[in-house]
Amino acid sequence: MEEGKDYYVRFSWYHRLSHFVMMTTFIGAALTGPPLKYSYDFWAQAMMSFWGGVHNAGLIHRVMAGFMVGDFVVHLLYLAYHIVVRKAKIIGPDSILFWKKDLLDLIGMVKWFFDRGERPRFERYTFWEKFDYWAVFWGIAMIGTSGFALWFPTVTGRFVSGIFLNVARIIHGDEAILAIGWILFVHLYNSHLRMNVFPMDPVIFTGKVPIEHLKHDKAAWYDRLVREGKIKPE
Amino acid sequence: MVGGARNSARELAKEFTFSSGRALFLAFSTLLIVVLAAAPAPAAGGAPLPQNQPVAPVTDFTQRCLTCHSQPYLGQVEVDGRAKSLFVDPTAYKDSVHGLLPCNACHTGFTPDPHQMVSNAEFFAQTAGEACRNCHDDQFEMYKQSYHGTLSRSGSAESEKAPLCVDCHGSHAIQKVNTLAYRQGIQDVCGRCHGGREATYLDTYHGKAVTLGRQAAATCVDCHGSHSILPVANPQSTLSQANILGTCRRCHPEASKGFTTFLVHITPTSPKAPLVVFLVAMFYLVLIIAVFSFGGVHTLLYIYRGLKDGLYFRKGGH
Ligand code: HEC
Ligand code: HEC
Ligand code: HEC
Ligand code: HEC
Ligand code: HEC
Ligand code: HEC
Ligand code: HEC
Repeated sequence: MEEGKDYYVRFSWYHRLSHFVMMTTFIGAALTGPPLKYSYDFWAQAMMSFWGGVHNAGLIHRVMAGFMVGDFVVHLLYLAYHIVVRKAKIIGPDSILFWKKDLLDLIGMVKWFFDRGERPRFERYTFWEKFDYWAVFWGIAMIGTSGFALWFPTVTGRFVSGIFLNVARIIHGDEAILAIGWILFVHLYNSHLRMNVFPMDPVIFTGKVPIEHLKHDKAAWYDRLVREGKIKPE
Repeated sequence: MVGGARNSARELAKEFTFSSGRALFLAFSTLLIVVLAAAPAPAAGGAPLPQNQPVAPVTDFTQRCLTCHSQPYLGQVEVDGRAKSLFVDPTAYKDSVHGLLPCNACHTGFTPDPHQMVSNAEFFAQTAGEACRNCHDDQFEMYKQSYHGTLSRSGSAESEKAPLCVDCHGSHAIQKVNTLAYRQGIQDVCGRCHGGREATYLDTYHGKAVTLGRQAAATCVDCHGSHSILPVANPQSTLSQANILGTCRRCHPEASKGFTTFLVHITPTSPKAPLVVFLVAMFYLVLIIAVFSFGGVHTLLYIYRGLKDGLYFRKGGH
């Protein structure tokens, strides 16, 4: 935090905690799962001996999965609370759901990349942030379901044909490639290596974003916050 | 259950599979031994010797054979048109399970000095299994009934391709089979002739876990048997419709009929795979390409734009 700057609290304590749990369990799972998938590679073998063998790595992987799914379930309850009790709007500038503006923003962004226009005036969530969110949402649903199917293969075999274990393995492995690749090459860039926050944006841990950044980064949201009297104009 | 399938996979499953556990166990047992100093420690491991054969000490006899055969350059001979080395590595031999046996335990009828040898035909019969039969009759009888054994005696053109005892165990450096090292080697033993099957097996949990050192996961022979291997279509096979459930249940006690329809040997991206497997595999292939193309292009353009404007090194840019 720099002195003399004004900040806006963008992420509540729940958002930060939820992201922290997601991040740590994701890293834990990503360090224990792929060495099994790539068993034939030397690095995989080195990592497995670091964990103390396939069995131990499997245990760690399951503990991580447990907390991750827990985080996910709590998030579903959070969503339900906001929609049912707090009557949050499902579509709108504060919603994480895609809407028409996202498509326009995407086109605007491409124009801006090639210097054919101004940078789009983003609302609270940019389209790539929404993409990040839904990628995790979909990812946990798929990787979680297939993961439980493989965790209890004989139970799965009682309900469906064993071929679904083959299917579950494909889903689990490919979804992991998607998730890890996305986090490493897209999410980390988009959230931390963006030019104005380079080399790191601490907002997801502190919750606070400098208002000066907000003005540039999410102009439409900034305007709305000023209009609603939530922040002082710069 | 059919013949050769050993029961010890279950026991293996119970073994300590990681070193910290084993270290703890060793530390604990050492303590115990120190405390009970008087009592002799019970022998840990070490299978009892088969009953029916003589156990000779490392004899002068073996040593005499080795005076010549321990020479690495000992002549190549033509056997059946193939060049063959006559070298026997003495260290590997002494470290093998048969290290205490005199050479003629297997090479019956051979004497060192003068070098008396048996006829070629008899030597072939010996090395094809007769030599092992004296002491491992059970395995020999099972093998004889198996597909490989039948094939090897069929006299057809294929019979040359069938594995003999030596193809799976070697001859002068035979090792115990319940070790992790041997279990990890099984896939390659079979893979020499069943390469495609090895590749698909290595794509399953069992293959990966065994490769990474988990003894409890299934090797080829835990499913197919080792000396009693039969085609799956044969009702006697460990994997026939009647027996497969029992085979999986040795390690998956809760297994049901549905569970056994898991496909060990498939390539998901091949159109020959079951439709649902193929479609899911293709769906993910397309999804991965699409998602990474979108994300990758967006990221690269973002970096491009940032660099072009020199915004990385300026405070408060876009
Ligand atoms: C004096 C050196 C010498 C000694 C001692 C000796 N060998 Fe040989 N051995 C040879 C040579 C040379 C050949 C190749 C001879 C040939 O092909 O005619 C041979 C060949 C063999 C073969 C291959 C037979 C075949 O048909 O391919 C076997 C098996 C064998 N020896 C086993 C033994 C055993 C067992 C002993 C001890 C009982 C022994 N040898 C002692 C020199 C020796
Ligand atoms: C456990 C049984 C066994 C014992 C004991 C044994 N051999 Fe052999 N030996 C074999 C078999 C089986 C073959 C055939 C190997 C093959 O076809 O690859 C063989 C082949 C040979 C050959 C032919 C070359 C080759 O490697 O194929 C020589 C020479 C030989 N043995 C020497 C010895 C000597 C010397 C000793 C004692 C130090 C000995 N053997 C002990 C089983 C045995
Ligand atoms: C197709 C490969 C193959 C062939 C051929 C083969 N074995 Fe084995 N054998 C194995 C494997 C694999 C094991 C490990 C046993 C297990 O895990 O079920 C084994 C185990 C053994 C054992 C240890 C005891 C046991 O049954 O577990 C002996 C002894 C043995 N084999 C002897 C022989 C003899 C003798 C022959 C020839 C008649 C032979 N084998 C042929 C693969 C083979
Ligand atoms: C003279 C008797 C004798 C002959 C002949 C013999 N073996 Fe053995 N074999 C033994 C003995 C004894 C052991 C057990 C050694 C031990 O437990 O340390 C053994 C162990 C083995 C093992 C390891 C078994 C285990 O429990 O891990 C294999 C594999 C094996 N023999 C294969 C063969 C093959 C293949 C041949 C033929 C080429 C052969 N044996 C010939 C006596 C013999
Ligand atoms: C030296 C080569 C060789 C080795 C080693 C070998 N096999 Fe075979 N196997 C064959 C041949 C040849 C056939 C007959 C193939 C045919 O009929 O198309 C066969 C047949 C089979 C069959 C019958 C089904 C079929 O494809 O026709 C099974 C199952 C099998 N092997 C499993 C194994 C296993 C498991 C191992 C390892 C323990 C093994 N084999 C090791 C050569 C080998
Ligand atoms: C988890 C159990 C399992 C393991 C482990 C396993 N298989 Fe199989 N295997 C099967 C089943 C079930 C079939 C029959 C269905 C099929 O053909 O895919 C089969 C089929 C085969 C066949 C064709 C048999 C026939 O009659 O057509 C061969 C050959 C074979 N496997 C070799 C291997 C080899 C080599 C390995 C190790 C590298 C191995 N298997 C590991 C379960 C297994
Ligand atoms: C020698 C023991 C053994 C045998 C026999 C065996 N398995 Fe397994 N299998 C294991 C072990 C160990 C695991 C890992 C279980 C775990 O850690 O949850 C496993 C896991 C699995 C899994 C879960 C795969 C995954 O990706 O997580 C499937 C599916 C499976 N086995 C199918 C089979 C089928 C079908 C058979 C019978 C044809 C069979 N197994 C026979 C030991 C065995």
